[in-house]
Amino acid sequence: MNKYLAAISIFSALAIMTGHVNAYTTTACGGGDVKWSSKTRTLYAYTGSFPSGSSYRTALIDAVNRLNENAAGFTFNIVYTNTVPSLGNGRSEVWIENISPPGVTNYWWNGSCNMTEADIRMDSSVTWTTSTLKTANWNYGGAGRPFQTTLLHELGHAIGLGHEADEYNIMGQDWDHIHTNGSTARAYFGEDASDGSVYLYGASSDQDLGIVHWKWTGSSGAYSTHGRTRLLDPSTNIELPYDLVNEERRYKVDRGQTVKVELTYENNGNNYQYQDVGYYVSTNDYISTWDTLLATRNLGLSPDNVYTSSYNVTIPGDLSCSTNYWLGAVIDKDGSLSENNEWNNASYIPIRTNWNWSCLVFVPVIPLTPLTPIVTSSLATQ
Amino acid sequence: MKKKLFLVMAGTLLALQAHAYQFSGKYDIGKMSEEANLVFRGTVIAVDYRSSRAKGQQRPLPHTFVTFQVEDVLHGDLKSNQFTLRFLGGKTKKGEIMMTSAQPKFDVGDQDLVFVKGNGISECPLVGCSQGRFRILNGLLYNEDGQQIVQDEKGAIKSGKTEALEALNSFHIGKQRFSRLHHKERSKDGNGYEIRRDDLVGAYHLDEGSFTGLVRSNITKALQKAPQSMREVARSVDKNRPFSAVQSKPVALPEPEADFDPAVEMSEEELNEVKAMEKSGGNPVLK
Repeated sequence: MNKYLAAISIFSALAIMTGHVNAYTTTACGGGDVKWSSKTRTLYAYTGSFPSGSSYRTALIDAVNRLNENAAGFTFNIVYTNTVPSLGNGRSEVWIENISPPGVTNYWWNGSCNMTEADIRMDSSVTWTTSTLKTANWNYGGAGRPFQTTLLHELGHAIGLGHEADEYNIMGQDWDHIHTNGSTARAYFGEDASDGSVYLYGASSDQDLGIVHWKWTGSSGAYSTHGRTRLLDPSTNIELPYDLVNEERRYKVDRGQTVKVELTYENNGNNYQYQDVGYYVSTNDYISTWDTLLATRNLGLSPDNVYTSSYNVTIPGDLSCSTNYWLGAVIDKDGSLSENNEWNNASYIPIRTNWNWSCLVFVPVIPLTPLTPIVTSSLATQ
Repeated sequence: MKKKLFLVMAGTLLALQAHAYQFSGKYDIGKMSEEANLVFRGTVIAVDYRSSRAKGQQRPLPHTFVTFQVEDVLHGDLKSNQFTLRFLGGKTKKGEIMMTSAQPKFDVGDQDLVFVKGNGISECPLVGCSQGRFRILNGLLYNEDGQQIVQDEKGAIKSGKTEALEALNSFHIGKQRFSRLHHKERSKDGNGYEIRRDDLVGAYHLDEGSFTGLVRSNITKALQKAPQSMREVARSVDKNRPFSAVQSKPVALPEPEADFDPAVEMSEEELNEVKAMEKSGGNPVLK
């Protein structure tokens, strides 16, 4: 009977372990895939939609730069032109037009499955934000959909990637595939799409790690859907109580309480990385190594599967009561890895300490004045 | 011992059930019915490629004409039992192919239930583009992306598990065969299966009969709610008649409203931290 039980247990474990998540999607064509024949292409940006000095031009540059940080080294060079764009003219172009979806990419390929043109049209009827300030972004209580994330999604199509439903991915729902630390929310290409770029175009030598407070939650048709990572009770795995502040969940915690901090860790580069992750508590939403270190964990990340996981930390007992704090993590906290981007190495989850009777305990702080040694005048004048 | 065995088996079943459905995309069939000019079930009998006429600066663009043998009209008026839809994207005479990111791909013999809107005008004449196409394979319903169409315990229609079926994931353009490649990686999620969704345990894969019934009932409700909204007649297009594509009309957008950065009171220590991070380009590793 024991053997029988053991066999079922193994089967049970395998049922979980052999589960797969789908990653990037491409279009198979003949013996290969639909893709460009070389890694460097020109993207013509219409100055009528992206005039010099406009925030839309800045957002375009941001999005193309983020695409160019893919682990394959695929690069789009922007050329500004006042020639009116059109589909089918042999040039890859980007412009803004009144179309029904927020963004559309029309891509062309020849009989050899090589792409010859990719045109991106962004919709003019969407309320966009081109700002990286999180308060302007609808994920954080602002009014606008981030232009950069949608454009980056379309740029993913323009290099040969399809929609992706089964992993946290820019090729799914784009607006909440975003990195935030402090007051800045930036679009980024992400691990899974970057992995797809390596499949299509081969690896470069780039390395990049990141932490975000977003994760895969499901799918809406061909698009992955994303939600915020959470703070959980370690014994029950149930999400802790929270209130909403600017669309962000601010968790209610007790001083001294152990909580499970859920975050998403990504390896956007080419090589397996084994790095320290430091967990911190901060008095603001900027997580850095200057904050109070609570715990350290070693994490191994391969560049092919977005890793959402949680880690137990204890809220310090000396925090002030009824006060806002931010729990967060910094990956590669010693800065030992040279990366494409360092700004994406930290993110946060807001918390607020509860009031309870322990808050009434008064701990007197006695200021200590350092003793001044008595010195002779001959020494004092040295 | 029996109790332990039961618990392990129950755990196994729950794990398998939870893995069976990882999705949450909801289809609002009522709203889709309101938006559609025509809803029918049919079989694709022809896929043809034609290019539009050059117009102004707009060069000829390849289009795909998909002709259905209509088997059941759920909503709308049809004078013929054949109906042709026109999509932007297809094949040129030189053999070049142009596709649109969300465009559905049809093969002769495909069985579908489609919600038609703006045929001959729109680049993609289906409600929500590929969302307005439901594929029928072996009597079961799938979406354009090869995901099962399921109904959960509360009655919601959702997209479900992606099926690795050849018929769902491959398509032809002319004689050339293409397929959607879902590159699979083994999940390495830290806390067992954190990413699994349990909200659809108990959801079941819809068959053609059940789904058609649901659509009919939603159309009846939509007609009662807004009888005027569904009167527009959908017209089949003639693949042999010359046509023009809509010319691009690029625009400049006004600058978005000025950023609002709420003033946050910070201590000197915090200000120093923010300044240090700004100085290092946002690097959180501060020396």
